[in-house]
Amino acid sequence: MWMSAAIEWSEVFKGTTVRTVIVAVLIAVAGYALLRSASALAGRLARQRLTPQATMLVRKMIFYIGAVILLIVVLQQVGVNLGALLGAAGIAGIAIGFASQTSLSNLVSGIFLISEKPFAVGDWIQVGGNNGYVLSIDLLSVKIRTHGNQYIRIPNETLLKAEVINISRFPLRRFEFMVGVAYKEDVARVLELLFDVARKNHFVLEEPGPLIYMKSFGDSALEFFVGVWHTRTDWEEVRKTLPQEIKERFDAEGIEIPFPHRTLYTGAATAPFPIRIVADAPGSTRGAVPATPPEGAQ
Amino acid sequence: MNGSFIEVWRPTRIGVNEVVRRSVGPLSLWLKRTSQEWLLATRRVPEEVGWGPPLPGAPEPHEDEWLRWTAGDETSMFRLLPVMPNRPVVLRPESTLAVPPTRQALLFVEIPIWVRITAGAELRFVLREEPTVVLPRTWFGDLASGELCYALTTRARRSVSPADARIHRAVCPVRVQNAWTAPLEFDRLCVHVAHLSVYTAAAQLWTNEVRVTFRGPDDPCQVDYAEGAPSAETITGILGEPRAPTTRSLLQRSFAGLWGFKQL
Repeated sequence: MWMSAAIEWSEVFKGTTVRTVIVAVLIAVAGYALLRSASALAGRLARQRLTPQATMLVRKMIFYIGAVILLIVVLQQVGVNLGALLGAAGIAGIAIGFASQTSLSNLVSGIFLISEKPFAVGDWIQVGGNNGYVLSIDLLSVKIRTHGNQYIRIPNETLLKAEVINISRFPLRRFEFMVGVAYKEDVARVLELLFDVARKNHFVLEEPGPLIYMKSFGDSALEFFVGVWHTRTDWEEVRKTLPQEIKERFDAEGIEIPFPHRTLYTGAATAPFPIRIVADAPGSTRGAVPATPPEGAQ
Repeated sequence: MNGSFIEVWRPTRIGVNEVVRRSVGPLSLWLKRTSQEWLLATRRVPEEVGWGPPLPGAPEPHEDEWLRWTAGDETSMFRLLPVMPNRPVVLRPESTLAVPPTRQALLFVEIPIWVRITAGAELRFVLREEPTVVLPRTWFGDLASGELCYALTTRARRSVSPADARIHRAVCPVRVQNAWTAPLEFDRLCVHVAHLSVYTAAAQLWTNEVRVTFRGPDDPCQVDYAEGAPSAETITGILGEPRAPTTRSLLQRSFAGLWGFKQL
């Protein structure tokens, strides 16, 4: 077995001399330098007309195609019988093909991503549970940096299959949230205050105007929808300031924001629950008397 | 008002460790020079609550209110200059305006200026630009390709009265020409104030005239920024150069009326 393999390899390197090896090394070194220069030059020319992703693709394609050609030239120079080499590497090629299935899938996905341009370097995207700024779009993967300064590599195949949200594509965004107030509050007054707080917030745009309305009757509160527009660069300031300003304004105006609660009653036919008010300071158990149900209560 | 109106824009000498105080409407500025630094502090009162120069006994700014610039002691001069806001201004007349077909209307709009504080050799070193009134921000155009602007509610008067002159507002004459076949009704007019210069008259700041020709809701307007001062006024000189000078006619989307903002 090993004997036949040795004979095959001796066939491959038939006629190789020291001189041919030296010439091959020189070709390899010069060819590599030439390839790097050609790739860089193509990148510079492409940058003037193409996007950064397409520029990167052009550079890498030129480099890898050139590298394959250079390898063939070098092997021919050292007298390698390419036909025999390919024959010997046939089985290995099939194995490598199976192994690189994922990589090829990522590669093709990368080409689709670059041509479709769902996002660009510098955009802020959300994929699955991750979101961050796009650092690079490469042939096999996309690299993003999260707000927590984590580096995440997302395979292109995953990106092509997943729902990708490009958060920074448009210059404006709407910040939406719900505000609950007690049922006893005057709806018109609450709406007036919410509009006033939104109008006075420096980061909220006057137009498109805020969208604020009473949305639903919640378990514990009347629920108001608040949607305000801001520029994409102000998203953090709006999120930090507006809810706080609403809370402060409601406190100042005596508008109650209730916590979740339930009212218990025992039915129309029964007496109400007995409650005894204890006059001691809050938190004190001194003087507390257990409630005693009235006669007849169940 | 006249004396202080002219005085405030003149180059001023300031001694080492001296504090100079200036007021431009609701904006108050304190400027101080040391042998190695320029220091600036600003305070602003809301325009609607009334304003005026700081009282003589008003406290100086706290230490943390000063902004510092490293500079040599090559000059002791500084100057305040009026400039237009750094973004377009969307003018919102208090009520919808209508211009009949083939007619034109001249409107006078008071735009709150910004103050550019310059110092150093030949007063070329810009320390800072401060708005006299912080205008709310708004968006003009569609959600994907519009532009960020300031919003300004205006009475859009048809004439100017000296009694209404305010030191921190420049009167901008806007001539609206309706070249369309139907009446032009609008409630928003976007003016790219970066192309406007600021001129000084007796007791009022002025800008050059803006001429907007409306050619239909589907076409951009032709906008011309007149060269030189408005002819009707006794202009004494130019104070603020435009941020983006232009002599060409521009095609810009300028109006939003009942047909415009519904698209949003």
